[in-house]
Amino acid sequence: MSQYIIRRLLQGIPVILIVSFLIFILINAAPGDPIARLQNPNITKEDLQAKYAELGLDDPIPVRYARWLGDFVRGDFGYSMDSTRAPVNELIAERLRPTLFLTIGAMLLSIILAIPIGIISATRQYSVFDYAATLGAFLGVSIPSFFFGLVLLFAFSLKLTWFPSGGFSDAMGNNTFFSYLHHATLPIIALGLARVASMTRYMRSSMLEVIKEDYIRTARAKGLKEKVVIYKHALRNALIPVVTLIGLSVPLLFGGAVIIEEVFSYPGMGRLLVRAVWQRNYTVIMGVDVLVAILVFLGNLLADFLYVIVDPRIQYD
Amino acid sequence: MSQNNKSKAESPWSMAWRHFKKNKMALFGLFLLTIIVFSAIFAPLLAPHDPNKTNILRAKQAPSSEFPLGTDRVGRDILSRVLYGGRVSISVGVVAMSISVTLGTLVGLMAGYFGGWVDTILSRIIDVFRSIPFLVMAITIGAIWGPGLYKLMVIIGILSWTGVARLVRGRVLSLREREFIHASRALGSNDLRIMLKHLFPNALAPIIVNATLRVAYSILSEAGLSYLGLGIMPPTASWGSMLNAARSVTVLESMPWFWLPPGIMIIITVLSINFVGDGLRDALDPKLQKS
Repeated sequence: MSQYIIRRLLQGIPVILIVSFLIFILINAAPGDPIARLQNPNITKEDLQAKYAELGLDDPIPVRYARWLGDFVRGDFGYSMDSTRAPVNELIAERLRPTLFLTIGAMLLSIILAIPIGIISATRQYSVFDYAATLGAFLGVSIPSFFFGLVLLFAFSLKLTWFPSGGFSDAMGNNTFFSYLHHATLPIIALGLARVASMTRYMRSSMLEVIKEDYIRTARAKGLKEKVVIYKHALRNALIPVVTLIGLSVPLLFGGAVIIEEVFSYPGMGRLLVRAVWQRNYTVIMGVDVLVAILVFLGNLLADFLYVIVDPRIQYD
Repeated sequence: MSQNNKSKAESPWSMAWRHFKKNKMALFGLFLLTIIVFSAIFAPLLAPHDPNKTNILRAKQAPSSEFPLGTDRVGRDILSRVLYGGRVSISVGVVAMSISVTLGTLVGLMAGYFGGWVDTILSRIIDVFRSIPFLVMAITIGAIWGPGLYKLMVIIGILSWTGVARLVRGRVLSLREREFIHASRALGSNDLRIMLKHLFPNALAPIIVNATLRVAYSILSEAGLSYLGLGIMPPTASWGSMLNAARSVTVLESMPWFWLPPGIMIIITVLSINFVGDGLRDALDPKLQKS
């Protein structure tokens, strides 16, 4: 197992390095001169050059990237380029928890809903339930998540006032798990909808395939109850492709969070990124992008471990 | 099949169409999609008003007989904007799909056919692209590049080719060592000819299905980016840029006619495309064709 982790890290780290290098090049190609912007407008060209040299900005890109990387691995993500000059790592740290709460919540929601719906759809193929679930799944992947979010916000927050229309922390400072959940419920549903829909389809087709297998017929032939056959014998094998989907969903969840956080004024990393993009705040963009790439990698690693749990035939060594 | 053309083998396309016709949802999707595409093409004839003509005296009007879907904050007719917006949203969908499918097919063909270090390098590039979420990368590039219709098409296109590439690569890998490829090579075909004349047509069915669904994803991406204010910019109407108005809580709460029509149009369009894509998958998948 530990060998496997090392191998995965050796595969994943180069990818993250390349991603960060590409984003670094991209950002350096951006128009505008942030240093000149921060200085007195009457600064002379010579003084500006001196400033560049002092900050090491006239070095070639690979040298500057290496310097950035050295700081990054030590947890120094630089300073925000807006007027606050706040350290980027602090800005991100504040927003990491709401984003993880949202993405993990949406992931759990999709697992909790999709697995039972998929099983019932498959065991009662062509029933009314199955047709309704199929139609629902088609709708789920066709509604833009942010539009669904707007409808939820309109109905349950603005009209019915069951849920707050924004934020993550309690206004009175009484933060509990449930106060966070109260703020995050609508965002989680909006982000989870498409995941529920596609996972339901996966679960259904994977279950349909498994219940055709000989060992299921054997289990039935020896007189086991249908419930035992489905939930004990079939489910475990049917879950294997679903775990693949969980891994594939990780980047979709982090990407979707960007826009959902914007809809619900939810103080996460996505909203931080959108703000940074509007302000051309490149240090923040760089920090968030690379951190998201790392989170996606870790999420996929986690999905790999889930494999071992559902499929004992797979052994990592 | 009828008796008089018994001697003639049925072409794969007519066979696919025969299967497609049996799928009611797919036919319904195709029907809706045709209406939507035609209403976008003929928007200048159908639109009751100029989509960009502002009239501050008639701003924020609820739907009426003169303005069937009401007017927006500067008095533009929402119905006309929805019709014209369809042109922009659908064009973005189709062009972005073409870019990503062309790129993905080329990379997939090369990775699968040449194998070895070419495959290793191309597969690592695919890994890199897949390791960062689409929307995160799209808004980063958008921040540096600025908004705009053509830029948006290119951004969506170049960020979403990896799915097609993996699909084509897998298909080519399974075909590469087949007899007809060896035969073609023995007859003196060069690599390019084998790839384009033999491998590509054999991978066409899954590419078509994927391309169909790509249009739907691209329309959703356009909507998301324009909603964030990083895609189509005002005054140009697109379904996404019209939804941008719903960022204001007042509009969201008390002027639902601003944002419901473009949202519903996106849902109907994407749903129809998904129905058609599903029908195509069943019709073109040789494994499922038993009847």
